[in-house]
Amino acid sequence: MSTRRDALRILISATSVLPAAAATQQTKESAEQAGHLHQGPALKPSSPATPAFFQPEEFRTLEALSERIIPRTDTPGAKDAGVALLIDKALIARAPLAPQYRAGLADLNALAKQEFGKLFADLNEQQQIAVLTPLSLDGSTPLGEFFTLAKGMTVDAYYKTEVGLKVELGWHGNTFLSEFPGCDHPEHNA
Amino acid sequence: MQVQTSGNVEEVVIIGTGAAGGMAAWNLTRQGVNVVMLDAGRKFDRSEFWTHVKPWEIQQRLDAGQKRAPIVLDRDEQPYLVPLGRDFDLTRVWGRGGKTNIWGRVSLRYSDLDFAGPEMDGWEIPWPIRYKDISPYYDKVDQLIGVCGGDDDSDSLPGSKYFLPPPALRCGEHVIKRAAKSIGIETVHIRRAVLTKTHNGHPKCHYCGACGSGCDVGAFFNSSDYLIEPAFATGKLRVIDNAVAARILVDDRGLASGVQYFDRNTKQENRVLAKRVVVAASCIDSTRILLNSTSEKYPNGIGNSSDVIGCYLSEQIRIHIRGFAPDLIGSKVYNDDGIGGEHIYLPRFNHRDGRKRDYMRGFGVQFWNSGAQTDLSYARSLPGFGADFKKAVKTRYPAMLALHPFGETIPKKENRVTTQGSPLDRYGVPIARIDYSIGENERRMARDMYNTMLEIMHAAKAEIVPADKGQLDSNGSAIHEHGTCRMGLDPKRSALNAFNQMHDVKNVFVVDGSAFTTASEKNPTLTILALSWRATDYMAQEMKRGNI
Repeated sequence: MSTRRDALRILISATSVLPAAAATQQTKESAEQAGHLHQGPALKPSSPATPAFFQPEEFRTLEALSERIIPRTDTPGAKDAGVALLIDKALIARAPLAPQYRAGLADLNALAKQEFGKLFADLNEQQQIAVLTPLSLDGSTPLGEFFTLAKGMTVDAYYKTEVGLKVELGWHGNTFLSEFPGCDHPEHNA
Repeated sequence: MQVQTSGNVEEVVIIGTGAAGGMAAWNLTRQGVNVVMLDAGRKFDRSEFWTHVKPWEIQQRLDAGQKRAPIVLDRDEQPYLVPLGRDFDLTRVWGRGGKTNIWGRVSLRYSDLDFAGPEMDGWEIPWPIRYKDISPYYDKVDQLIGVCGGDDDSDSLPGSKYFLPPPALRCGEHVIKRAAKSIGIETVHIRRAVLTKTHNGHPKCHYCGACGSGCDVGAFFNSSDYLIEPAFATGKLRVIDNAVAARILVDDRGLASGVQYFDRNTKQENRVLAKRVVVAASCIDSTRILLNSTSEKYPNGIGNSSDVIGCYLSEQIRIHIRGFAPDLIGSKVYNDDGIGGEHIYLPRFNHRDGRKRDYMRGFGVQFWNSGAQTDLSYARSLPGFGADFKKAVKTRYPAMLALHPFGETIPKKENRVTTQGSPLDRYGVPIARIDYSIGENERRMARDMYNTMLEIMHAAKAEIVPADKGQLDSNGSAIHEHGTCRMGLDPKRSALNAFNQMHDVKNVFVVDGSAFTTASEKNPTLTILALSWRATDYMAQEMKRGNI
């Protein structure tokens, strides 16, 4: 599957590269800090997960919806980041929302069928955008409310993943630095 | 169940191991006093802090059955009551060092605007001390714990000769600084208890930004590593773990004679007998203990002839305004972690330059989460979806300006902690009931905060994230509770004298935030440390004189 490999390649290229001398200095300083833990205890690689709450057909709709909210462009999208599985997991933890979510996906498919005669996941990109646009403009209807919920959960999940936070946005914090350089824009420091 | 007591009478027992209790233990043991501390938890293991765990790894670790240190106390374990229709968001840490394990570290000296504020506007009683009384202790605390800061003192924020170097500013902080200055408001370097240089054997900060999870190397002040471990080294300190203090015991002379406590795990009742008691369990828990310490002599709680204990609960009000700096939209993404939290501070200014205000006291502004951070909640508020939406989120990412004003709430008698008639906790002891609300003064101040934040944002030409005008953060969320066992000169209107000693009970000292006469707009921990040091200096002198 090319998706995973693409995401991985982008991950590697996004990793910041320190000049060798600075890297050596940092390694030395971090080694001298007693008790400094760069990582927590090692994690076992997890087995490929399957949705625990959604049925396969619902999950397919969810994947298509979240991918349309945050699509793959020149950077990875929601599907690359595994957002649908994260939402599935989040809904188990937030049980009161789960039935609303399930009903929302069913309503979305009903709307897709009514407008284009197919399930949402089977529409092409332009058709999916056409279905979602009115929902994104008016959050007061039941389906608009569902869209707001789905967008919020997609956003929350995506930007917490390594793909969303590091690859897409370029966050490179929570790491050992010898010094904090701060802003180096000449116009700000003037 | 039989009550256990060792029969020994200790020189001093201290309830609580946070900033207040840790300072008391450190200062007394180094002067040769034997001390026993009651800690409602245990020492935390730094390897359980998950300081260097990336946001996406947290769920993976939880799924793998790994556990992070249970720092914040679960409310189900020790509940509290709020009346219907009220709220109070109480954060407690039971365990070595208390809240200093995860505190915000902002270390601002109070000024005479704070200590004498009530004299200026006539609302409630003034502090029994002035800046000159406490400034030598601020100097000593700064030297002991290490506080970074700049050379930018003012009448509302006194400085220090002992600051460590301030950290460099982030891009957004330059923007805020310039925007505020353009409307006549000066910002200063943050004063924060984070080591920007190695200090007293503690390593310097390595700028990972994960301070809120606890520091894996102790590069910011926490009571356990900076005070309690050195106190252990004197050989004068003993700490009883998992000891949940319930009541102060009283002898027939009306003096404190020890503390009743329960084992957190076994619920076994125990007593530690002592000649003197220092109360430092944090504002609400200390108040609960004092009010529950009823006896024939003290029917409404020990040292409470004034009936002020529990009253005048003062927290702080906050609003949060966010926006994007236009010249940072689409700019390079920096590692903006720094020392965790903002590197600038906006001290109180509303008393200057002929500014008019329709409320008492003032506010200061903090700026955490400015720049490229891990909180992406702003993305929810951007319109649309798809490729354009994704791009809008990304380009705004380095441009976040986050403004968080903190304002003083005035002390009011009806903002009250009580225990009488409360349900019992798992140890059979009445829990705290917190009846707290803000009033017209706070609402007026909040309006001024909102308008001023918008002025700063407009001066920065920022694109403002929509916020509900008048939306205040929940009561208690600043985690700055004060005032329920206040200091004062008049024993009829206060519970403690100028040295945190009970007016009514000479061998009891209360040294945490409950002793504060007013809340101020500032973060209290530095002042708690200075007051506890000062109080225990006085206490040690009084012990030598044979007075207590």
